[in-house]
Amino acid sequence: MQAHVNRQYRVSPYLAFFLIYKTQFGVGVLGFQRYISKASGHDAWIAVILSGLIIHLLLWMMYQILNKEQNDLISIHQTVFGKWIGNLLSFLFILQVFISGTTVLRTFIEVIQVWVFPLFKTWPFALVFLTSAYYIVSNGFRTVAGVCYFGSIIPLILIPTFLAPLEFANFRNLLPVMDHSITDLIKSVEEMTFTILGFELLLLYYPYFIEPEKSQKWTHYGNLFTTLIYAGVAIVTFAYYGEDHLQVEIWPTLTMWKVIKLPVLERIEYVAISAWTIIILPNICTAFWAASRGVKRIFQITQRSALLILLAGSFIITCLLNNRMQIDHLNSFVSMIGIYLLYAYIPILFIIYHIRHKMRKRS
Amino acid sequence: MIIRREGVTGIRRPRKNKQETAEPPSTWAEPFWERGDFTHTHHANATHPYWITHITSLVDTEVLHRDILPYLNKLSFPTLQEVESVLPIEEKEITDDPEKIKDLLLRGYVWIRFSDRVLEGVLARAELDKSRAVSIPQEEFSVVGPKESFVESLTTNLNMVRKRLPIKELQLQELTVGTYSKTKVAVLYIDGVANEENVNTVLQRIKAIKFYQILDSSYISQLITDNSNSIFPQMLDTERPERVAAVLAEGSIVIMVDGSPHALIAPTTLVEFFSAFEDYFINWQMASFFRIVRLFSVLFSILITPIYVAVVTYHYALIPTDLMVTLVTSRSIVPFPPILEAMILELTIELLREAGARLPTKVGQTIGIVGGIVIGTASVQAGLTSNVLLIFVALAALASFTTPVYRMGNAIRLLRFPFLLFAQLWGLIGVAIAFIFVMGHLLRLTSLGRPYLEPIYPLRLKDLRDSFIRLPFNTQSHCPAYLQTQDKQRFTPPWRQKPRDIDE
Amino acid sequence: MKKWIKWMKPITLVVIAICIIIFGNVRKNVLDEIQLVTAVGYDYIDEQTATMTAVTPVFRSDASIENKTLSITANLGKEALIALNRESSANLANAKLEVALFNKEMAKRGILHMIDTLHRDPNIGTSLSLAVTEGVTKEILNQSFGTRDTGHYIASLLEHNTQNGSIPNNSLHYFLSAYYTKGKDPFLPLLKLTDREITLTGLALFKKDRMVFELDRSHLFTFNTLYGKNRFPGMKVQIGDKFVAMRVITSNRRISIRNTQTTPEITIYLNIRASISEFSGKHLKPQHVSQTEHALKKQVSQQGHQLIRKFQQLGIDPLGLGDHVRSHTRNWDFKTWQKQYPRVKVRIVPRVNIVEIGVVDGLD
Repeated sequence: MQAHVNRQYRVSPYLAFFLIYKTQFGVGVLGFQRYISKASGHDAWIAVILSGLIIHLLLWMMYQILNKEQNDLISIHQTVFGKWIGNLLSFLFILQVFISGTTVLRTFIEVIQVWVFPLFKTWPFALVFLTSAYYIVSNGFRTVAGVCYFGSIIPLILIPTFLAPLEFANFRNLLPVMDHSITDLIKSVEEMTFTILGFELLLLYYPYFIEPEKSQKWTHYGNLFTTLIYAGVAIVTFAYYGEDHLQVEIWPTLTMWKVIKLPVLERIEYVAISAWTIIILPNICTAFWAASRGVKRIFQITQRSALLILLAGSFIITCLLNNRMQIDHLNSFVSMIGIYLLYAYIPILFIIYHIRHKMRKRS
Repeated sequence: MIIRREGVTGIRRPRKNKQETAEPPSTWAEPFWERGDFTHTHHANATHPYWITHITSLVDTEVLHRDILPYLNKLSFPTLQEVESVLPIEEKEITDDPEKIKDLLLRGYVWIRFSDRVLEGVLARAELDKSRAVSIPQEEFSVVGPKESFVESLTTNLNMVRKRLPIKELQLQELTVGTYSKTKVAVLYIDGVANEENVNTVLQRIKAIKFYQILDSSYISQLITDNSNSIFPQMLDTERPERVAAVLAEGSIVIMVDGSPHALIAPTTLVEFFSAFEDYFINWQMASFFRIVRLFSVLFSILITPIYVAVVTYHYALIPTDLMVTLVTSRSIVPFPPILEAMILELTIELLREAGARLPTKVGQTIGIVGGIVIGTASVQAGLTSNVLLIFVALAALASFTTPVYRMGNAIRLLRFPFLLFAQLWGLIGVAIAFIFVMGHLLRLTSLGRPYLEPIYPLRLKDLRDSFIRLPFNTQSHCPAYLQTQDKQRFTPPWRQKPRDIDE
Repeated sequence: MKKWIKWMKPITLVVIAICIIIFGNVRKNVLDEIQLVTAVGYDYIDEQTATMTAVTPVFRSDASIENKTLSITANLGKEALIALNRESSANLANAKLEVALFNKEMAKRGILHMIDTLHRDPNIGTSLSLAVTEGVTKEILNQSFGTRDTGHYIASLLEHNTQNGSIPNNSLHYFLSAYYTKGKDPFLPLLKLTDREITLTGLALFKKDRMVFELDRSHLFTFNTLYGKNRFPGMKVQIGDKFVAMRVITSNRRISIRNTQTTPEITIYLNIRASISEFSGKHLKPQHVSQTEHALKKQVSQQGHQLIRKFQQLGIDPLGLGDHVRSHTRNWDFKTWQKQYPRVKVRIVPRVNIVEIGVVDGLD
C-alpha cells in the first residue's frame, strides 16, 4: 500500500518551513512562559533553546527514516511492525494528533472567554471554526499548506508588539545566568514540549513534497525560526516580569500587551487575540488534515468522511469541556503524550527501523 | 437584428427548426418570399438574367451595388465559376449545400443564381459591419498613454491588437458559440510563448459551452470560469488594446467576443486586478507607490466599517482616551445600534453608486453631488448617523474606486457586508473569522487551473517584481511564472557593466 | 437519494448560519450606552468596609465633559462595582479606568484586596496609575478640574510628573512587579488636594501592600537618583547665604556589590550632571560652581544615607537593593537576605558635574 501522491497535489519543499514553524507556533505562545519558568525561573530561555536543539535532532532522525522509505508514517509502521501492530501504533499517533488539535481549539476559546467575551458560548464558535477548517482541509494539502503560509506571514506584523514591552523591561531579571541546575532545565524542556509540538506531523506531510529530500533543509530552518521566536518572547517576558511576578500570570504574553498604548489604538491584546484566530487556524487545519489522512490510510475510507467524523468528534469534545481545570488537565495530558512521543517514541522508532533495515538488507 | 422567417416565431422551439431544414431544398426559402428584409430578386434585363437572394438588413448595399451588381450585369453566358472569379470580393464560394447556404445568408452573404429552381449558386460576402468609432476608454481611463479602446466589432478589435503585435506567432482560433446567437469568439495567443495546456483548456471549455446566446464577453467568462460561485472574477477583462497586447506577450490567452468591447484575459491572478495598465506608463517608483496605495485602500475599504462596528459595539477599550470624546459625542445622538447605522450608510452609498451608474453621465454627476453632500449632511444633522462613520463610509467608498478593474471593485463592494455581519456578531474576532473564510476561498480559487493567489502563494519571488510593486523594465526580462510559458525569457537583459569609478 | 445530497450542503450551511445568529450572541458594550469609569477611589471605613467612589465622564454634545461621581460603602472588592451598578443609569464599564486612588488610612492597612481586583480583571490595563492621597479620595474625585474628565486629569498629572522625572516610573505594572519581586518593595505617589488643585507631595513607601513610610517632596531628588537613571526637573541648593537653582539634573547609577556570599557590601556610585539656571548672588564665579557641586554632593550623600538607614530600620527596600544583590549572587536566598538587610553596609559615592551655567555669564 503505497502513499503515492499525484504531482499536482504536491507542494514545493520551501513550504516545509511554514508547515513546521506554523504548527509549532500557536496558542502556547500566549502562556508558555509561566510553565517553563516554574522549574528553572529566569533561566528557562536556555531550556527553550535546548528543546529547539533536541527537535533538530529528532527532525534529523525522522528524515533518516523517511528518506530511506520515501513514504509516510503509516507505511513505515506497517513495514517495521507488520500490519496489525503498525496500524495500531498509527492509530495512537493519529489519536494524539486529533486530541492536540482539539485542545488547541478549546484552549483558544478559553482565551476568548476570559479576555474578550465573558459570556461567550463555546459551541457556536467551535462550529464556525470547524466549518472553516472543513472548508480548507476539504480542498487538500495545497490549501492547508497555503493556510500555514498565510498564518505565518500575516501575524509577523505582531512581532514589533513584542518589542514594545521592552520599555518596561529590566534585563537584570535575567541575571545571574545559569542559576539553576540541569535537572531544573530538563523539567523546563519537558514543559516546553506541548508548546512546540506539531512538527511530528512531518511524518505524514513527507510524501506531499515535490522532491521530499530537499525539504529537510527547510524544516530545520523552520524549527530554528520557531526556537528563535520562542526564545525571544521568553527573554522579553522574563525581563518584563520578575521571576515571582510571572508565576501569578496565567497568560503572560497577553498581560504584557496590556501595557502598550498606541496613539490610534490602546490595548493591543484585543487585536492580538483576533489575530490569534488566524494563527491557530493552521494548527487545527494541519491536525485535522493529518488525522483524516491517517484514518483514510488505516481504515480505507474516504478522507472526506474521515474528516467529517473527526470534526464532529472534536466539536463534541470541545463542547463537553467547560472549565479551566478540565482544559488544564487536557493540556497536561496532551503534553505528557507529547513528551513520550518526542523523547521516547521517535528515537525508538529510529533505532528499530534501522535494525530492521539492516536485517532486510542482509537477508 | 431581426430576421423574419418562420423560425422567428418558433425561436424557442428548436425542434421545429430542425424539421424545417429537413424539408426539400427548393422549398425551404419559400416562406421568405417578400417577407420583411428578406429579398429575392430576379434581374431579367441583365445580359444574362440572374437571381439575387439576400437579407437586406445584413448586407452592405454599397458593396452590393459597387462590387457585385455591375460585374454581374456585364457578364454574358457566364458560368458560376466565372462569376466567382470575377467578383472583387475575397470571401466567396460555390455551393449547393442548403445548410451552408442558409447559414451564410444569415451572416450577410449574397446568393447569386441563374435560376431559382436550383440551389447551386455563388455566395459572396457583403456583410454590413457597422460599429461605433474607436473612442477613449471609459472604465480603465488613464491620464497618460494610449487612448484607444475596444469597440463592439471583432474585426476592429482584432485590428487594434494585430497592429500592436505584427508577428506571425500571434495565433487566432475562431469559434462560434451560442445556439441562437452564433457569436464569433476569437481565442488569441502567441505560439511558442503561451502554455499549450492553457490554450487547450480555453478552447475545450469554450467548445463545451451549451448556451443559447452569447451577447458579451462576460457571458463567456461566466460560463468557462473555474468557480462560478465565487464573487471574485477569475478572468481579467479589459477594454485597452495595449493591455491585451502586453498580456499576450507575457503568455496569457485572450478571448475576444464579437459584439463586446471587452477582451478576457486568462489565466490571471488576484494581484493583477489591482494593477492599472497606466502603471507601465509612469516610472517604476511612482507605479509601485500607487500600487501600494491601492492595496491599502482595498484593505481599508473592506475593513474600516466592520472595524468601526466591532470597536464601537464591543471593544470600546481600544479607543484612545483623546478620541473617545469625539466618538461618544458623535454617537450619542444616533438612536440606532452601530450595525444598523453602518448598514444604512453603506446601503445609501450603494444606492448612490447604482443610481449614478444607471443614469446618463451628466445626471449621474448631479446625483453624486446631491447624494454625497445633501443626504450626508442632512442625515448627520437629523441624527440618523454619526459623522465619524459618515467619514469612514465615504472614504471606504472612495477607496473602493481605486481598484482599476470594475468587476473587482464590485467584488470588494459586496465583500464588505459579510465582514460587517461578523463584526456585529463577534467583534474583531468575527472580523478575523470572516477573513479566514475569504482567505480559504481565495486559496481554493484557480484561474484556468493556475493558483489565483500567485505570486503570494505559492511564493514566486520573481513574479513579485511586478505585483505589489513594479520594478524597472530591465528587471522584467522573464514571463510571469504562473503562466508556465514555453519561452520563459522575453528579452535578454542588458549586459551588466562593471561599475565605473567616479569621473571615468 | 441524489437530490438529497445535492441539497445537503446549502441546507447545512443555512442551519449553521441560523444557529450562530441565534445562539452566538455575546453581550454588547455599545460605546454610547455604557458609562465609562475613569477613576476609582477607596476610602477606609473599618476593617471590613470601605467607601468606593467612581468617576464617570458624561460627554456633552459640545465635546465638553461633565464628571459624575458615584459612591458606595460596601464590602471590599468586586462587590462594590456590582453595587455601584445599581446606582448607575447605564452599565459601568471599567476598561478605560485610568487611575485608582487609595486614602492614607486605607494604604496603611493594606491595599492587596483592591490591587488584586484591578489585576485580575482582564479589561483593566496595566498602565493604570495608582496613587495614595492625603485626605478622603471622595473629596478629590468630587472636585472637577475644568472641563476635563477627572480620571484623565489625575492620570495625566501623574504621567507628566513621571515623565519629567519628579517621581520614578509607577503604574499598576510597576507596583505588581515590585510587590511580587523578592528584595523589592513598591511605592506609590502621594497626592494632596490643596485649594482645589491636586499637588504631588511625595511618595508613599510600602512594605508588601501596607504603606509604612511617607517620603517628603524634599527627598524626592535623592530618592530618584538612588532609584536609577533619572532626569530631575530642577532643585535648589544653598551655598553660604546664596541660592543656586539648577534645572534638568540627569543622573546615572551604578551599584557594585562585594562579599555576595557572606554579608554583602553595597556601594552606590552616582554620576550627576546639572546645569545652573538661577543664581541669587551678583556674579557667578568658578568657585561658586565648585561650591554648588560640593553642596549637591553633600546633600545627596547625607540624605541618601539617612534614607537608606530609615529603610533598613523599617525593613523595606524600595530601591530594590535585594533584587540587585540577587542578580549578582548564585543561589540567592531571600530569607538570609531579609535577616542581613538591616545590617548591610551601604555606601553612596556621588559625583557631581555642573555642565552649563546658562546663557548669562554673570552681572557686575
